[in-house]
Amino acid sequence: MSFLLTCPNCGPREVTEFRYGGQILAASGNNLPGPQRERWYHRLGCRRWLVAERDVRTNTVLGTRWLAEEAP
Amino acid sequence: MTAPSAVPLTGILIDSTRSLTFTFEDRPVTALAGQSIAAALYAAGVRVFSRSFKYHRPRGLFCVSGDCPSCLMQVDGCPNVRTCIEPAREGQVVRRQNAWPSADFDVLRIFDRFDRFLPVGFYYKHFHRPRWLWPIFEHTVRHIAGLGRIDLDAGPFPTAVVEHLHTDICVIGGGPAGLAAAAAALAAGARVLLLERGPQLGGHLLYDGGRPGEIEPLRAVLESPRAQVLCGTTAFGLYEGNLVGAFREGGLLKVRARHVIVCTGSRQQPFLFPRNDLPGIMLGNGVLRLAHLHGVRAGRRAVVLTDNDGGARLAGQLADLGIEIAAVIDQRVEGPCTGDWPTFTSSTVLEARGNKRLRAVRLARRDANSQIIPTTEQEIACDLLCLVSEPAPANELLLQAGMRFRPQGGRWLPDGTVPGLSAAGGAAGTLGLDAQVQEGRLRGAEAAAVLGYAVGFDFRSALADFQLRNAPAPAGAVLGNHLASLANRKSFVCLCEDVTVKDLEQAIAEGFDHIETLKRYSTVSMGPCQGKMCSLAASAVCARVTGRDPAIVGTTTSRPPAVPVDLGVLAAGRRHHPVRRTPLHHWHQAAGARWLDAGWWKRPESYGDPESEVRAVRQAVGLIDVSTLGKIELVGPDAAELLERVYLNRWADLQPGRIRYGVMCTEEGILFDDGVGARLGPDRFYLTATTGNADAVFQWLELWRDTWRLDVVLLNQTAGTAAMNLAGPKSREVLARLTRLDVSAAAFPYLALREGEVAGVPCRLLRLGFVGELGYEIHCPAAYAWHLWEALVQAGAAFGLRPFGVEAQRVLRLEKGHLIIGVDTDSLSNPLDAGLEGLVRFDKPLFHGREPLLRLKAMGPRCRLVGFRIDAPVAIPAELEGCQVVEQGRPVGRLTSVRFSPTLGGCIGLAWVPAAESRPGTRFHFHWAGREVPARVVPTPFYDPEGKRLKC
Amino acid sequence: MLRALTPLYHWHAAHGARFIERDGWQLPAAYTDAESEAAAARAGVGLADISAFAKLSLLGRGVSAVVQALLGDGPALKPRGVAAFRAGDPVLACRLTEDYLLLLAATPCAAGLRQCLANVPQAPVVQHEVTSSYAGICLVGPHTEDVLRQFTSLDLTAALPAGTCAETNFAGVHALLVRPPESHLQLVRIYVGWDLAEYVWQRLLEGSRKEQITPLGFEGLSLMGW
Repeated sequence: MSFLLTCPNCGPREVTEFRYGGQILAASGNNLPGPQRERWYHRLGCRRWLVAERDVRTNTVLGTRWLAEEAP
Repeated sequence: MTAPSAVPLTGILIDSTRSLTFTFEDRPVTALAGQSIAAALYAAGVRVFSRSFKYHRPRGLFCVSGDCPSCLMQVDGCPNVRTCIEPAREGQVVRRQNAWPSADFDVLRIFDRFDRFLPVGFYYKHFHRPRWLWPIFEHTVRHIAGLGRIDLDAGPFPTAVVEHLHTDICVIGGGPAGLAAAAAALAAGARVLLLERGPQLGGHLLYDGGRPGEIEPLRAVLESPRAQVLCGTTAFGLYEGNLVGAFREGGLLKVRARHVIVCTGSRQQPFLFPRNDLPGIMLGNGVLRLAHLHGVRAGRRAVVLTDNDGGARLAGQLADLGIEIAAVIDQRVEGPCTGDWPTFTSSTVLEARGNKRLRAVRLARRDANSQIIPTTEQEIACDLLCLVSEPAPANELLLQAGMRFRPQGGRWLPDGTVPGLSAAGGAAGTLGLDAQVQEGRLRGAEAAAVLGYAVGFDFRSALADFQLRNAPAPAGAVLGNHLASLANRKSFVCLCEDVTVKDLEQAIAEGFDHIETLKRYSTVSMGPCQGKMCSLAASAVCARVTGRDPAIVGTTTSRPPAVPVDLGVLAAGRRHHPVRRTPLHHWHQAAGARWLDAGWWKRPESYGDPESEVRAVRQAVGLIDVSTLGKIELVGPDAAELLERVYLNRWADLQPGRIRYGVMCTEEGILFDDGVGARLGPDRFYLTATTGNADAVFQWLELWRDTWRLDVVLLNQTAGTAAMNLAGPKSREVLARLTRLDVSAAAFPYLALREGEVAGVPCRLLRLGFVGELGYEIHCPAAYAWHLWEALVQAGAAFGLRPFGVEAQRVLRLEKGHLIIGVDTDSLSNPLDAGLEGLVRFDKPLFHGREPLLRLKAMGPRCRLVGFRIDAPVAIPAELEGCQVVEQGRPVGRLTSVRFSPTLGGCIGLAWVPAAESRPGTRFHFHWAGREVPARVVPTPFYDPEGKRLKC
Repeated sequence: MLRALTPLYHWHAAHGARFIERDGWQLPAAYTDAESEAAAARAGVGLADISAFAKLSLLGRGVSAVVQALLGDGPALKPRGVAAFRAGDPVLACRLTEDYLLLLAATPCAAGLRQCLANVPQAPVVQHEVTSSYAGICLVGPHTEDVLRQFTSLDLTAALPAGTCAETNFAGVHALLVRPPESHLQLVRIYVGWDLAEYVWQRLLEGSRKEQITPLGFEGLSLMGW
């Protein structure tokens, strides 16, 4: 695991700066190949929770935003 | 022009005016400055460089590029040094490895004669029966096999450091393609980092008689301030996110690039024929490298074996170096006949002859059906056999990063593209200097354009044009070069692991016919070269035997590291783990603290005598540093609401200035953390969390604050706030001496919080009773902790104050029957079973764990956390922690905390037992040291059950 | 007399520091002599303990309004921006995030900071004195970046130009890196948790390979133009 995650505050950072906070439950099902919404915590950066959309097949991060701004 | 063989050569890496001496197996060897160890040894007449892994066959210098395993030696105690690229240094101590008593005469060579007892996969087939013999087998096998010996007395080795670099474009490889790529990217305005593994730029131009002058203009471009060129830097891994792992000068380099261009060139491959591993058989380019880089001639009389036009070219180059050419053997039906030496087409080498070094090759022609024509067999005397195969791309890094290669027209070429990655030159299967330079230039421009730099020419159509013109031409017809395996004459596919063609054939016959299973069973490509010299040959053998298309067979997965890396380099920057110290660390140190690691924290376990520390707290007064506790302040209108939802208990009704014990669960109803919380004001709370969970609890609160969008600010004061617990019957008197606060029982009752100055330090005081006595937890800014602590110690001296450590605290809390989450509970423990049901406020509409806990409550408890006593004498009670509670020999629970209680004069503890057996007075047994020991359930708290002492 | 100690006090004492007292803080004046410490820093990198300098944090939705009132449309108006202003003493305002402003004084005295905030309009922010939450280490000298590169994967050129700050992984722990605006020297301030100060300080001293790194007392630091 050496991909980069773009923190909405800090910009692109090594994924090791973050703590994984689990998949956000999806109506279409969980733990499936393809993109999924996940919580990440920027533990060695701004120490905020964010949501990343990540394709689990390729580790491509499609986008990130603040957890507090995520639609419930 | 033929140079007489007596004329010394001028290797471009060497400085012939400076010589140095190193020790090779107890004798001195002279080398020229810059020369590799192996080149100096070769010049000194050494021909056997190592003994092979399994059969202990003599091996000589082979690739002269650091790719193959043949020159691995022990250098200054370091095993497996690739001596063909390692520069010789004054005073070095060099030894050959993997041989006994010496590489020149290795008695273990006997294994070569008994190879029928060592078939492919022999270690899977033998040695496992009878089992009791395995330790003997293991010891013997370890002695015989393996590469090198770790010298435990060697070192200390310099500590490797890690360096992080960032760039737009990272070009790996400083040959013609890499230089052209870097120059083109720089011209477009990009930041470029060029990594070259050798000591000089130039790649194959340095040795293969190309036109070195042509790259001079490219080299000049690298003077740009946007360029950084690192020679002597080996990239070993290309990881996701375009992270390049490399090492240089014993340090680790981590390069983040927006784009990577791999220009690592190509390498010749060995041919398969009987005894193809004899010293004196070398790659053609190896011979050239030895001569042009290191100034050493590889032999006097050479035979060249080839399957392409490179053979004839090499023969000419060798003749220019003063090496006599005995013959060129071309495996193709037709080939160029140049020079004044015989060229044998449609021919092949039947066998290399010689004992420890090559003396002659036996060759023969084939007929149109690839059959050997016996009448054409002949023997040619020589001391050098040069192998000139079609070069194969050095594409390990590309494969790691996901680029695929397919065989096309006899060459392996890239198939498809990978974003952020490109290849140019030999690594992309491109042959010929002009094409390599052009491809480098186009890929450099393309990469710069992708990153948004303006490229001054139409590189897209030029690239399309290039690809069209450089499509592989059909290779010249090669007669099937398979030879029926000759008895006792091995054809080696894998030099690292001593895997022969016959081994592969047998493995395939046994059913391991997929390239990946073939690799794992036969160990082909699993040695130090990691397939650089054998992967394609293994694939070809597999394709031939199974009759499959080579494109279908493919090659095995390529993974980092692509080249051997010192473990010390990989450990760079990871030698230390962080250490967290409380502001009182050095006080404890000076007071003789025994340290306990609690995560990253250092905590005093005791100051020498935990039992007397316990007695001091029970009878007088003690002081413990609890600065490691998590400390969190919550400010905002929704502060109470957030706490209501994450804790089991209520907070909304807590009065300002009052404290409450709180417990939280995960969403699954599993115990997560506990601590106390105080209300500072209507919108303000102050919480503590356990040492190990401090960060996790803070993140947990932030997670749910954000998820529920509650209006509350969270302040993590763990590091900035020191905390110390003053506890014991005399604690009030000690405190009264240092503060103007009214600390009387009426004015400052149990579970109250006060703010004020103690010894002049602004503090928060929490009246708590974790250890079961009158006590005050005093929190203050970390900078004043030392001042406050010393004031307390001084004021307490008259009352018999003792500092106490974690061990005494554990005993004290156990006497009170308090559980520690994470010690007495695990990831299956819920608060109902743990005896905390009184805290769970099911009347709250929403809190984490409510639903699962309701279900558990309806089901009734299965097990219980209970207090127990052991009446039998126990030497070291703490060793019983983790023992199983057994019922009729079956485990039904476990002991979690066990200590000797000096206060109660007995051995007490907490244990999980079946709910049915949890009533006080019930007897149970636990398993310890092979016997069953009795214990009995007793009510908790063990000590002061009414809590009079802490509330006084 | 109330005595305040930085988390590196015992390191300084063990390495022969001569101390001076400022606002109750025990600060290392010099380990050897200021001139030679400053000279060494000018040739390589100097390392100074600035933990004692007052720090104040402002958290909450009202941070933007406070920044606007204090600094106008400066760089600190944007997250990760750093602006300098005076509140009695020079102060650096670091906008860590949209709703987190950290004010860093250049002396141990927090009075100036408190006073200037007293004049700030009411806004939904939580003020908190965090002087002993963050330990501060100042790296100064021509090889500052070469040292930093060994401890952080942050792209210093892109992510930490003058007048910005960044929170990142530094030697395996959380750190705030601050590069003041218009700093005439190669200067970066590193802020880590009080509890990690000694660990990071020691890593900096032991870890760097080629660069000569020298502890710098306050006298040497003022010779460097602090």
